Amino acid sequence: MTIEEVKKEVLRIIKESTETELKVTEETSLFADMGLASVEVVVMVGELEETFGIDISASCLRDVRTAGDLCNTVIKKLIE
Amino acid sequence: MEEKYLKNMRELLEQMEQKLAERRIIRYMVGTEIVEISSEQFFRQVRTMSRQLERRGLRRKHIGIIGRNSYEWLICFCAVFWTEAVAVLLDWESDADTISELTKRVDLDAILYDEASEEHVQKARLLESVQIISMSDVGKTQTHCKAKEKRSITKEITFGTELGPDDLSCIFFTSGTTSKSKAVMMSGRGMIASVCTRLNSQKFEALLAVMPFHHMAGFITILNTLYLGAEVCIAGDLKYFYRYLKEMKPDYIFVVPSMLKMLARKLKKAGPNGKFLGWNLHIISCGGAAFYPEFLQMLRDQNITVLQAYGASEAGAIGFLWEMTPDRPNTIGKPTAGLEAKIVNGELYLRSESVMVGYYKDAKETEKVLCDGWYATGDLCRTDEKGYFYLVGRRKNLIILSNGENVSPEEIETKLCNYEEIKEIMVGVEQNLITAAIYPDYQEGISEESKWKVRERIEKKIAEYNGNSPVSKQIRKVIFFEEPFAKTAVGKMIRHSVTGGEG
Repeated sequence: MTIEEVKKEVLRIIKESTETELKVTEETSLFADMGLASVEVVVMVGELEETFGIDISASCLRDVRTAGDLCNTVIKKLIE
Repeated sequence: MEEKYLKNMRELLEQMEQKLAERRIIRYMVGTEIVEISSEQFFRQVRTMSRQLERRGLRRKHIGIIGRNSYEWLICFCAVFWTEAVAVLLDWESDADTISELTKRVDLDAILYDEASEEHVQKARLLESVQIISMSDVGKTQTHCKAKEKRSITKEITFGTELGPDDLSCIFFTSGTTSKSKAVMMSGRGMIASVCTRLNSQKFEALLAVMPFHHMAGFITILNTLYLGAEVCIAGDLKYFYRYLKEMKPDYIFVVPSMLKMLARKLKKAGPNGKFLGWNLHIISCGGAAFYPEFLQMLRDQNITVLQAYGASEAGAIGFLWEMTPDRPNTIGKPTAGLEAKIVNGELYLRSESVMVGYYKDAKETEKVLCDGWYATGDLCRTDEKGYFYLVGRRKNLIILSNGENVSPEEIETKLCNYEEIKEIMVGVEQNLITAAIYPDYQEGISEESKWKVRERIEKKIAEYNGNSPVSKQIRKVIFFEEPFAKTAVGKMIRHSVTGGEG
């Protein structure tokens, strides 16, 4: 998968998992724009782990604010 | 379960051990494998751990437990009761300063910690006498406890008197309306009443325990499940929430509204009880914050019973637990057996055997909320002509998020108000997000560009605060004001909506 494909897939999962009507871009804030609770983001991370076969620890999520932050977290884990 | 007068939590656990003999009582997952625990195995490990605690001289002492939801946490919790000590439950997300402060405040003699909280526990400034013990030693025959300092293991002290129902049994923390959390004291009687109760006639076989164990809704729901003869499935990591539902197939779950929203999204296409997803959900209890009634009919159509839970940590586990029906989707129902409820000047008061003894070493705050066994909830309430209760607002200044977290605005404000470029700060909630309204300390005649830089520095400061705070207390939105906030005649900030500034 290319980096762009990974990003596209992460954004798709965010949109599908939350059923948001918003257009989800890398700039979309998971909290301020989408109104997600922190637990929703944690569960979504479980879905991302299963899709990409990676392990994302809770500490990686501390600085996650936007959909782009989640994309970057996944990309970083795939590269490791 | 046969009713017998129980004097303390140890007697309750001994009774449970007999009743649950030869049964599988706990399941949890390691990766994709399910681990099954029998009653014999569980209570054997509880006794082993209890002996270790006794050898360390911790009988009747205050023992802190800090860690994520896990089987080991449960062993420690029950072992503390088996040792006739006081279980003090700490949030595993607490930072080192909070651990230091709480340890002193509630006179802890020891802390049992897991891997997730190890770093903060090790960094906490604790008295030399406080023993710190790793949970990874749970149930091992040999004691390999990691004490901060080498300490002598004292012999078991023999106590002449038996631990009675009025003795302190458990302390846990609840968000206060001041900047400090409050230490809720539960007696043995209160704990036993909380555990030995059937609040609703619905029967279930296996609970998925997702609520944080250090919260009352976490630890009491687990013990109550075992008391009712059902099984506990531990949700160790919420990331795998859906995996637990699919693999362990619990039929009952206690969640907060934000989780109910997630479940509803999945369940609407998942057939009866979520069977197309491999789930077997029959009952969902939802508590901790206001329920989302819009999902009710759909969940009922999927053969799922929804119970609305309402209570307060200080009132113990005997609260409202009402089966929701579309004709009254906003009610919290009627008081359950053993619970008295009354409304005084619009505020809901609760009384039952499970109400707390008071706040630890805080008679002043206790007096404000406890009177003659009645606990003043701070919730504004009304009833209808048929005796149904409805919540209509809050008297206490607390933020209640859809994930059930109660957050004190003052606690956050205190941490940020000393920053020199923040002149006034008011924390509130907007669209379920913790929002900070800030009036920056601009110098007179400052240019628009400099104002922008001040705001940028404040946002950086908030990001720094967020980095050091538990997720539940992080500020998600900042709004800047050009004018100071409205005040009362005595200069007190008038709290209302935090919107109205520049987002």
